[in-house]
Amino acid sequence: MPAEIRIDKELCTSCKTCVDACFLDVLRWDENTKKPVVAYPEDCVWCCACELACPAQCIDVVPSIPVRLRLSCGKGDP
Amino acid sequence: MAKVEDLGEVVSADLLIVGGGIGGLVAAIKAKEECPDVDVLIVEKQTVGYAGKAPKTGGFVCFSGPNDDIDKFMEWHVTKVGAYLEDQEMLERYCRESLGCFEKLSEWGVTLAKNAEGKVAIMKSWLAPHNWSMTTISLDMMLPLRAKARKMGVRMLNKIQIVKLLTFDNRVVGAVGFSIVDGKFYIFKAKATLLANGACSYKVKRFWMSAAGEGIAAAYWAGAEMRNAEYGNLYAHIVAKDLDSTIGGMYAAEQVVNALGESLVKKYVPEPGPWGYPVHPTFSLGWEKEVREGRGPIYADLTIPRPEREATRETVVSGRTMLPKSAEFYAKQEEKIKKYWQPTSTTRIELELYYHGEQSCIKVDHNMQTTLPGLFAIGDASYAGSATAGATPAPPGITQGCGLGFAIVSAMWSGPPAARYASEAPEPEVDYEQVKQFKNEIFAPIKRSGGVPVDEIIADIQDVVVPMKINMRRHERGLKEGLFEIERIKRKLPNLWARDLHYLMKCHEAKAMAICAEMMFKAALMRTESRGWHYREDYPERDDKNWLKWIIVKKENETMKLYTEDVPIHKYRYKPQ
Repeated sequence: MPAEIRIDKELCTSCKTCVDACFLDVLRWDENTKKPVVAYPEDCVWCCACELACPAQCIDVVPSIPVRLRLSCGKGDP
Repeated sequence: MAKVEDLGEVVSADLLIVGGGIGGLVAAIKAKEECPDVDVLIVEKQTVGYAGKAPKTGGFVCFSGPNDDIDKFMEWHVTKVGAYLEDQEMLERYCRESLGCFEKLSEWGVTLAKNAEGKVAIMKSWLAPHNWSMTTISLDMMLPLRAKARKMGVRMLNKIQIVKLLTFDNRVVGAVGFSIVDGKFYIFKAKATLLANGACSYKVKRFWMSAAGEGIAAAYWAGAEMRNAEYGNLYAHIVAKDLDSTIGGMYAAEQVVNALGESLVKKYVPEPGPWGYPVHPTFSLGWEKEVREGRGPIYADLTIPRPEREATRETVVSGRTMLPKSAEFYAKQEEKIKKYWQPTSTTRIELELYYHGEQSCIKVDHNMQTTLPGLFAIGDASYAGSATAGATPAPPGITQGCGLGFAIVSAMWSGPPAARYASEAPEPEVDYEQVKQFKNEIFAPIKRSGGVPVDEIIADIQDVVVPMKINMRRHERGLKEGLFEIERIKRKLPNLWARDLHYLMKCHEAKAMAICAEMMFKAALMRTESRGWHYREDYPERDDKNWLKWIIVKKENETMKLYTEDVPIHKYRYKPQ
């Protein structure tokens, strides 16, 4: 998992800005609860756009460092 | 009689813009300025105003400033960077018109760095030796543009992935796609269509783009020509191994040493930079050689001071932080890294080359019109295909800071001709059978109860396009191996399985990546020379006698065909000796 996205639903004001700000469809909107849902954390690149956009400051993106890469994506594949 | 309305929601527009990033918004505004009566619709895979790379990447744009010598810059670029593969008229046009385009953005409410007189601040760029300037641009640039576009009557639809272009009598008449939220099938009928939905990045690393070549693939499948597909190859940033990021943990080439402490710049870079890019190709190849021959890992030695040009960069980065929204973004990245990363040394950081590819090969003319009537393409979708930057991966293209720049400038260029085309073209006719076939293809992966998971396919594609031995240190043997693997992956595509609509979106990204990789490898195999950022180990020299040519890729009767087209060097100012 590249990152964990923690949302404090108590503080959340249901403005939906975080869902708009996510450019990778990681966050979805729950029409029943009127709250965001971390639907696809496997695609998060921790740009933190959601955390920055949140007016209530109720999102905390926790990245996984060191980043795990596929072997082919590493340096100098001989 | 069956009607297209029975197949899905039909939405009509004069001008359909695919992609709601910076390029799509600027093109929409320019189109409305040119022809206010033209009905413009933007369709975006995520959310207009936040989509694309612009609100998350460098935050600066490069151009010729009032005191820069365009001739000297052009000569440097053509001889040292683009290697005579530029459309020199387009490069000159970018040099002459880009600052005006950025000033226009400022008039439209976008925050750019300003000088004491309240004009756009112009700073020297560290990316070219002389005669190149830059300014910083706030990362929230798209929100005022979205507000302006809405005020002008531009319509917007979010969370819809466009997969295929509709054609009728060899003219593009719209597109089809689906909602990634509720699965509704959309049929967009349009007099003109403009692709502003980015490059193919292959999603190799943690990077701020969601485009996976869907626009390129759609244009190719519709019959549009591609150009410079071989320059979708990878280039590198120098980043801390643990972080895999373009933000934070980036180091200067001059600080890079092998395990013995030897400088890689001194060993492998033939002449002093800058080269328009952070990392010269020979540097990357040298890096790989060091590791292969047992002198790795490679480190950043932080006791080596950054060179003068890096000091300039620091100034610019400080300039960037003066823009509050940009400052917030970068501070947040630094905050996370500081909180969650504990490097083992404060003076020696293990590095990796951040291989990063962006393919942008839709061929366009000077109006950003493709070879198909009714279809335009801008920004990252057609940067290499426009030949503005020559033999370089584009973006960044001309130099770093020109990816965002080209998205804005090409959008300014495209809006008026696209609007005029849309206002003069006849009502589009749509072929029911074509729409029906596309609908079946689009939803096939989600109708299966099982099959090949899309993440597996994407990983397979990455394993083929990333390795240096295949795609950076290119050789007939490795490229054929790459093509063999891509063919093997393509045979799996008919069995792609999507467990939900998000994964259906990723299925179409994977299909686009596969076709982009195929055209990249085929073009790279055809170019039997080394030029710019295309390096062939088996043809290490530039061959001006036989290869002052662009490679054109086109689908003909379901087969990928490759041709060459002479660069009209006779009419250009700068010619090889």
